[in-house]
Amino acid sequence: MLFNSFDFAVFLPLVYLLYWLLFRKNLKLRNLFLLVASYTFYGFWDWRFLSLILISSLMDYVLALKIHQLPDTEPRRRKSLMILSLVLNLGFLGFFKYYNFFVDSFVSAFAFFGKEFSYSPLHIILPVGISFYTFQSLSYTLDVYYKKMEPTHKLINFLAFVSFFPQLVAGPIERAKKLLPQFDEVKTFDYQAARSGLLLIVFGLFKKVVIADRLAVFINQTYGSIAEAQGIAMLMGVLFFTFQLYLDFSAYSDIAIGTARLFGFRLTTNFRRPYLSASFSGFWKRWHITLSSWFQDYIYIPMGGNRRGPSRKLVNLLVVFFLSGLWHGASWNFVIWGIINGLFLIVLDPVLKLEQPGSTFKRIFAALLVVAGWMFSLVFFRAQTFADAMLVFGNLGFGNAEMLYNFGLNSREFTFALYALVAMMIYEIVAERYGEKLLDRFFASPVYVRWGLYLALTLGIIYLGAYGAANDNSFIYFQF
Amino acid sequence: MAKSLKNTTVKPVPPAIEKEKRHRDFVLKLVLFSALVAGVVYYTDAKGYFNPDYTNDHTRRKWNAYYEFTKRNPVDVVMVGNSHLYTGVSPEHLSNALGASCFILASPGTTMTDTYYSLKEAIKVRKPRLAVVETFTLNDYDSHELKPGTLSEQFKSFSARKDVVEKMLSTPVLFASDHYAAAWSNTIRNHSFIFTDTAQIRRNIALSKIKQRPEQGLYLGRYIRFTSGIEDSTLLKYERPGFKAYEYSKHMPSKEALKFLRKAIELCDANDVELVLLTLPMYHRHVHDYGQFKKVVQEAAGPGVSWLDLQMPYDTAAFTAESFENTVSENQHMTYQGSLVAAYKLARYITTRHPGVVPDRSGDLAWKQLFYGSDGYFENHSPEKDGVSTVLMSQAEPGAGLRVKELILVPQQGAKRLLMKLEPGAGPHTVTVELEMKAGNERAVVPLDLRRATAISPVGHQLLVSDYLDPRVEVTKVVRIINN
Repeated sequence: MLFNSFDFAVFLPLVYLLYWLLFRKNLKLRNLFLLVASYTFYGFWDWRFLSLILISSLMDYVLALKIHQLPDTEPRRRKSLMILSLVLNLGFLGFFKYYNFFVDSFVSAFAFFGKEFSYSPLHIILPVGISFYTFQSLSYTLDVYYKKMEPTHKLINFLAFVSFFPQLVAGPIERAKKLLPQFDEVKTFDYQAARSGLLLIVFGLFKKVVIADRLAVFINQTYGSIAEAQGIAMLMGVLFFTFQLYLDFSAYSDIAIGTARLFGFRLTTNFRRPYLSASFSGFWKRWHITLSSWFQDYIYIPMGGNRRGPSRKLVNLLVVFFLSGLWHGASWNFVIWGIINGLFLIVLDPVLKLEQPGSTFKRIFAALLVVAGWMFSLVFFRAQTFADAMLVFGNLGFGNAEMLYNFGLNSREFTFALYALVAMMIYEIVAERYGEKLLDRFFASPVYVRWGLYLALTLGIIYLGAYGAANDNSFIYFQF
Repeated sequence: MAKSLKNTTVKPVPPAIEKEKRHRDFVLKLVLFSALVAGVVYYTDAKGYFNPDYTNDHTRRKWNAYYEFTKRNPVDVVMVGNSHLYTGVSPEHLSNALGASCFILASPGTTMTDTYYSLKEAIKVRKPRLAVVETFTLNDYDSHELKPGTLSEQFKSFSARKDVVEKMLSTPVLFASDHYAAAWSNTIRNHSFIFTDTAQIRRNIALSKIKQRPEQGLYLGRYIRFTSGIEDSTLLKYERPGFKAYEYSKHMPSKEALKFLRKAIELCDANDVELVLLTLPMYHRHVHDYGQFKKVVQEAAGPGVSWLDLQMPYDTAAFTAESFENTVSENQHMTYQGSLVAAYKLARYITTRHPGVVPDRSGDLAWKQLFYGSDGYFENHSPEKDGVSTVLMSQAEPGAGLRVKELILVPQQGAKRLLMKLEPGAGPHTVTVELEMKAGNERAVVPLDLRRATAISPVGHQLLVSDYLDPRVEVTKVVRIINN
């Protein structure tokens, strides 16, 4: 089920009302209800893959209990159970997401050395959200193994934690330590949380439907016919994708966090205005924060982090970025995207001393540099193949302005998209300056200001949104 | 009062009750806000600011005409289907051939599901005696999987119907959930006009200030676009080795289509409406594997169903290349000429297979007032003293072995035409009529050839027709009739 769908518009109020009116007081029933709601939410996409979530969750539930039961005197058995969890979880992920990619890569590699194999790829459907819930479930076993937390004996709570519908298919990737205990809390209605949650939902939908999906029309056409998109059209395609990806994904996180708040749950912030970051390392502390911290906690630090000398640190960082690229998609383009970002962080941050404080001018320059670097890497992220990415770079320029409106957006829509982007960036700068105070000030404002904004956003979605039968409105990160 | 208020001790509200109250407030505000948003959308919908350009929406026009017509007149035959129907049958000729009122309520590219709901609404508005369901709607796609173009047509069909309850019940059947709002609201469906067609919004704003007039005149749902038949150069394409223009085996009816065919049959049974399935032909060399399709439909419809299949067996003498649109693309429609052939074949089928079901209203004044002079009227009925048509001969035996029921000069298609009606049976294929004609001050005797009408085949007589004549000519006398 998509957040920007009619199904969700019916599902959410229904689940909300049942949750607060019928199931609030009995914890077991409430969590069971959330589990059923979450499975229903996922089942709308394809109910067959519910079994995969269930099996994955049951495995980790049992393995974590077993690991915990084993005494410290049996480190090998503990470790072998942890490795079993890794193998099983990554095995599922590997089969559904990477099977064809790896086999194809091996066949190509052998062909390069003159050994030909005949191979026909399997028609495997990639289960939506598998990368997200696998990492979430896996982090639980790892935390129990590293004794960062006690395992839960409450099966329903654990199943509900893995499948919690607001963040099931595209994050934020929550840690068991933070989210699981919330299933044991007795929830009382929090007006402030609910209204801020609702505002986040509407704001997220506005970003997604009005801006990101409109940019998508142009991007799909420029990247879909790279040979025709010459000069400024391609440049705008690349620029627009930089913003589409951010707005699309951050919108999903906003809606997820907002939805969770309506049910009294607190999710982790996933984006903190990354395009205002003045360094590459800062960028990764603001972009897809829950994935970055996952890689940091479960890959980078166990590999030694920065504790084993500068050269090992570089290797560790590159491994993390390589894996991050691979996590995003089964394609070498994603790997290249990851490595490029790793190299930016390793090379440009220290060389240009981006992490050191400086003047406003330096910070603006650094922020522009970070966005430019990110934009460059995203060409590999968006293009289907390496050759396509090279074609995109070859086509970049400032000429052929007359072709600008041949790619799905007429001049009025194109101009609107540009203004909307500028407005969004101004909002980001203001939000960066005032932080939480901005929201407090908004909620303290007169009713006509608040309702005026709610109405403007909602009617904006209805009247200015890029939706309809001809639009593909799924979220980009669903494919991961 | 003030004193009693002063003495009242205010108990603190327990936090739980306070939270409950806040929750109730929150939900109430949400409901109020949703109503406000819905109100704004409803307003722009009601005003029609986001309406599409209805001037070319013949589906809406058909339904509006049907609602208007049925307010005052009975309807005898309702025909439902897709573009093959409204291009392939002339409802005026069918009506005049039967002496009845026949309506086409077809929309382009539609599914059997939509066809069923159209039939349901048509019956609910005014029950016909007989329903015709065209079988090309039994296509291979389901209503939930429609592509934007076809989906847009289904939106049009849905939006043209007016029964709110039926529409609510049929919404989840006809559309995927993400299209519910678009099906009900032009604002939702066409909101992109803000960027793509502001001129249409301006037109709609202007139109919203004018009271719309109901459909005027007789409109029975015909929408024929094709006038010239398949040309020789196009016919040559069928000669290409292995060329197959339309393969029925690739477009077998979906489960949903067959289900709604059965529902349509049940609907007619339940309402005591006779049902005829109608298969309109495509050019015989155009179609392949039709037998497979027919078998599946036959099994689904059951043995007793009445089915006029004009594709198989195919009447090569009646449906010539001239009867079909000049194309070898999959969706080959019929031409005007073809639609006349089909209308008369259908009329004959109804009168022979369903005798007495459709009443002959040609003697009713009300019917005559509606249909007099419409396409196909004079071919089937006698003209009256109307100052426009001229009866040159009636129930006469002018020699040459001919028994003329009627020889008339009638206005047609902006011209005039000479029609000769003969008793049914074997008659001549051509006759020559020598007429004394007057145009201005000039008089002359002119021989006119009348040929047996191939397309027009009235039930009660044989018809011979002339070419179209200058509308200014007047016939003063029939000089001689020669049987060729």
